[in-house]
Amino acid sequence: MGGAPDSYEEYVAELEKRLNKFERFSDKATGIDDRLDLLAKIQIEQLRFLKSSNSYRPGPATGAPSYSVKMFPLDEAREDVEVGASGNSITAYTDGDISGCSIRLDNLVNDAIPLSEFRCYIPSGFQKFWLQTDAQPGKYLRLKIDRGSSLDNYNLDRPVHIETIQKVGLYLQPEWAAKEGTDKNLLAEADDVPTTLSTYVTYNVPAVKTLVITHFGFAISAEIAADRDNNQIGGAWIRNETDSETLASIGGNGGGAFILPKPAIIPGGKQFRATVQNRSNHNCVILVSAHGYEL
Amino acid sequence: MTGIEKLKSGDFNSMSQEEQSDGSVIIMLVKRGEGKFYKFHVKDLYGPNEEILEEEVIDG
Repeated sequence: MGGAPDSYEEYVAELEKRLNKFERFSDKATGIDDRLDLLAKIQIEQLRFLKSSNSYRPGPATGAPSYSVKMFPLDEAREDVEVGASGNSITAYTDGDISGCSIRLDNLVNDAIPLSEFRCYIPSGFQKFWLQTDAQPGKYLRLKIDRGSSLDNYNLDRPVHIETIQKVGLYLQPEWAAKEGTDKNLLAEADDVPTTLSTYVTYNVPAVKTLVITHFGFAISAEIAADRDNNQIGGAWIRNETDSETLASIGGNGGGAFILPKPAIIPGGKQFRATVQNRSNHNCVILVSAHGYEL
Repeated sequence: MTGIEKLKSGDFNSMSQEEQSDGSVIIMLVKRGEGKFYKFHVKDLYGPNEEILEEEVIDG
């Protein structure tokens, strides 16, 4: 059979050329012929609809690949490097930061298209493009260049489509801060602290930043071995000292920890302090720590 | 960058403070990935008479 038939009549004519009368008769006797004919009618109608709505493009007649994939190491920056690949559409992926990558389609005088913002689709196609990338050692950029029938999934009625694909993940904010290196761990420790005395860690939040405390804790233990079977009671609190605002406090025997369901916010320019106090009746080693991140 | 500069710019991940009997404090700062510890002894921290008494950068 040549191409797909344009109508049901063509399909039947094609069948009759290839089947003898006995085959057609036996198909009709079993009902298979009716069912196959129905499927053929549906497919022909679908094909006719796709052709009329301009959402169908036949594959390349030359047998050329319908797409290609090119990888570009990002170890060094590129400034308008010519890439001789033709197509209709480019989609991009990188394991680095795509914000520094852009292309100019077809002509060097054309505006650069940021790959972080657009997927490029040109119905009439392009013959080559120029690539610009930032240097990102150890990272790479991969481009998928589609042409012809590989565009079947695109809606060709839209003048331009743009798509950028990047890895995404979900992190809790403290986890993200630790990954990005903006986490903060503030700690104070003191030995041989008498009853009711305390120690603390103080941090003045830089004016342009905001400190977010997500949890804090303390530990207390007897200074000398003879007291270690006794209770070691302590208390700890965190404060915005500048505004005399106590943000959270805890107490306990031997220590404790508090994960704040509502993070404590200390704005830039304010002084944060985490304090631990010995409330035992003997000298103790005391420690307080506050954890969070800075925005 | 000195230790006190790192403290005031927030350019660190962990801070450990040890109060001294005279009210001064010894501070140790660590920024992950730098491989250094910034240790300094400061009097009247954040106060009008703030003074660095001693400081050192220790390779981790």
